[in-house]
Amino acid sequence: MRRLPTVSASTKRLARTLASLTTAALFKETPFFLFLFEKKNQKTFVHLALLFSVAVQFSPAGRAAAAEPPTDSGRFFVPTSTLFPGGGHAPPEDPRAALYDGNTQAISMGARLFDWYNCSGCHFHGAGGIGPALINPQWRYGGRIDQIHETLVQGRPNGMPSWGGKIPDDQLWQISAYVRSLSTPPDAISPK
Amino acid sequence: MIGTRDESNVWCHDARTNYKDKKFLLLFSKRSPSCLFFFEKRAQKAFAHFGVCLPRAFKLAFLSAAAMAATLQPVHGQTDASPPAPPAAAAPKDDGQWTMPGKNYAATRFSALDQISTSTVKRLAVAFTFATGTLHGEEAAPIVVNNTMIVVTGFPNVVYALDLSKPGAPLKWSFAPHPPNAAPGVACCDVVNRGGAYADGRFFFNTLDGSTVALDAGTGKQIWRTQLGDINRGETMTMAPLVVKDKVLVGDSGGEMGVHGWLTALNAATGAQIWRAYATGPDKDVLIGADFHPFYPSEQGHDLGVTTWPPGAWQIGGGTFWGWLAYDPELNLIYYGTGNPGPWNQEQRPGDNKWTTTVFARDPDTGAAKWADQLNPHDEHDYDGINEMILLDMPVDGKLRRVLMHPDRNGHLYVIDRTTGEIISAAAYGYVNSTTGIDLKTGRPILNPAKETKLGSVVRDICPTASGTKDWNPSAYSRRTGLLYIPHENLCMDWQNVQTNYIAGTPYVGASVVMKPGPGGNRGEFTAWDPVQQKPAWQIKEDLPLWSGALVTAGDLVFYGTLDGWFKAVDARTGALKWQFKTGSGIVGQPIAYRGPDGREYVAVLSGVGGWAGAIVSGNLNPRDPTGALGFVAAVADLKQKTTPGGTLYVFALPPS
Repeated sequence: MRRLPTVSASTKRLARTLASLTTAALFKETPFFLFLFEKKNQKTFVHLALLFSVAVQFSPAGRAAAAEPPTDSGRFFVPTSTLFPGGGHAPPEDPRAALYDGNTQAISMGARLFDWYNCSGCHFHGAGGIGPALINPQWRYGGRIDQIHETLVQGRPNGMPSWGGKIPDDQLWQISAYVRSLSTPPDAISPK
Repeated sequence: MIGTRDESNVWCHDARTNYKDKKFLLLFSKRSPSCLFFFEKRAQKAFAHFGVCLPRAFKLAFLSAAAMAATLQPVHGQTDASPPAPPAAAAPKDDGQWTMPGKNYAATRFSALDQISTSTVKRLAVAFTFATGTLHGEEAAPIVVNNTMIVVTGFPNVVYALDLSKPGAPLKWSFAPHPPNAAPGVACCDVVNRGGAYADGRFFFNTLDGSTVALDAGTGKQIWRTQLGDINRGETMTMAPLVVKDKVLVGDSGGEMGVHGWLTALNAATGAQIWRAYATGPDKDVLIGADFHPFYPSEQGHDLGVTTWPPGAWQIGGGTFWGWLAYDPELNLIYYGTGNPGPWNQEQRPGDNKWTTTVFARDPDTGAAKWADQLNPHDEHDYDGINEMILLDMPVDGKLRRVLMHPDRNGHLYVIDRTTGEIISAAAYGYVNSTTGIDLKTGRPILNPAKETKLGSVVRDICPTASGTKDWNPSAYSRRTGLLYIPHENLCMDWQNVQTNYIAGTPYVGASVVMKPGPGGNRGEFTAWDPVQQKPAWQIKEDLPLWSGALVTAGDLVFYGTLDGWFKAVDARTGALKWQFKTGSGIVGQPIAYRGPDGREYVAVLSGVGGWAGAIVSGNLNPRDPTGALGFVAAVADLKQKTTPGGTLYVFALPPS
């Protein structure tokens, strides 16, 4: 196994990635987001994005990402199947998950983003429509928060778009927290 | 004089009686509705100034000057006593087949077969069945031609051809177009297909991902396939093509995804695009040119498809076409209506939003628009105009007029002069409070301010719902009874506008909707409508919203299905239930009738719940969130307890005697 990157290097890398993602969203992908942000709001948003990229260096998510080894691809192995030939079980959850799962702040942010990025246009407020229901306790691709996150990043073949590189990763985690909360009994959700 | 076959007499008679009728006088002083048919714009004005019945010679001069394609032959020798009839050219003699979903160009969905009648129907029994292999809504009409039945399933749009000449109708061929698995991710309201059409040895249909396919109807081999839509822009196709002369007419779906709606004509032999008429944008894209003569002043102007929108919004403004076309061969005009403007949140798109929710008459050869009536300018309630157009020649104030009947989503049964676009009448055929009627002087609905949708507040009990008094499911017309048989809904809704962002390939709606039963509590209604009297002859209250089409036969039976799977035959004259059969799943298909190779009459329908109304079952949606499926789950929260998904073709006949 290769040597762990230092905390600061890893954090900086994550911050850079997030900042570049946001920048890409704002500038390179202009047509895609053209209607998302009106011109007059863009300046404010750039400021916010810069603030965000700074803040993330000190955020628990930034630290957590560095605390566990990444896989060779730089990402954690998140299976969507529960079949493991010859036995075995799912690997441990992505450590970033703990920072968002059941976190009411992340959930409320996620709820807002869920509307903002038109997730609610397909899944509504959990009933489903174009996309499947999210308030049912059944999951096609796994109901762990890191599995939900993986679904958002990669998309799924039967109509779920791939949002990786389109939505900042922190926001994808917040949306995942919200999605997971929809089928979680309320008493299982508490501030962290 | 009334109802005479002599056109010149009708002419004068009409002018005189119009003067006696105060209500009509208003219209007459503005323009002569009965004569507009023949006149160019300038001539109209002159005629209105004369205000008298013109001498015959004068008239003839006008006629030749007008040089209209419209013929002046008397229409089918009707008298006032006989009910309106479809034009013979659009509804030829029944050959016992069923080659297009509407049965004929007049879209009457009337079968002249009468073996199965009010007296024999009690013996009606299943002849054979066929599983479609899908779990989504089956909205298609089976097509019957050359002793073969051809059926298109919902996604993944497999086509099956059954050999009707052999016992049990075995599979003759099948064709799987393999649309991409991702396509359902941009289809608003289940992944349905409304069927195919047969012409000249070819079978035409659309795939969900936006391609049109032509198959050899004898072998199932693909002749051509043309990709027209892009799912990454939210474009899908669900409608059934109409073949007119050498052209296949198709339109797109995606009014909830901010697509730029169109109707396109393809070369039936090659699949090459001949013309495309967008619903929004500059006149050159909408194919509005020198031939365009709209009836109402509000439809006149330059580039209204641009200027009636906020800057650029027309490009993502919807106006899709996913419903029904009709064709009048005598006038050489096609008729259809465009879909809703996007987003649903009306506050994001001030203006009339032309040409969404608009009935168009176009020349099928060039696509050039002849007239247009925007039925719901600046639509606030998702009242698409895509419902069926049924062509009839109908006595109006003593004169036979070429009309089209259009039961709109907004709850009004429009009778429109199909040569001019004049709205002759528009009576409500269900419970409506979103408007207080249609202003016949302007052609526009009179909005009820209390039911206008707003940002940040929930407007309650708007009737009808976004799905309309009637959605896509087509009605049928019998010239024997003179009644239009309308399967429809009786639902109301609460609506809240919310700000929405346009992200290509994702929903662009901006409304939170919750639907509920309408007055009386029955969610469905089957109305037999008398178009002359402008009122129902009879009505059947149905517990569940009706999402199936209707069929009427010369046996004076009307067939339709329910969301919980009952296939019913009722007396066309009284509405009395004569027969019913419980199919395996809810019915959202279109029943048809045909004569089998054995000479017997058969009735066929696809069972298989789904579509917008049945999405709660086909999509396994959860009604604990009543906003699901654009608010429809709230109205049918009990449907999962009443039916399960699964497509099956059912074919019925009287047992051999």
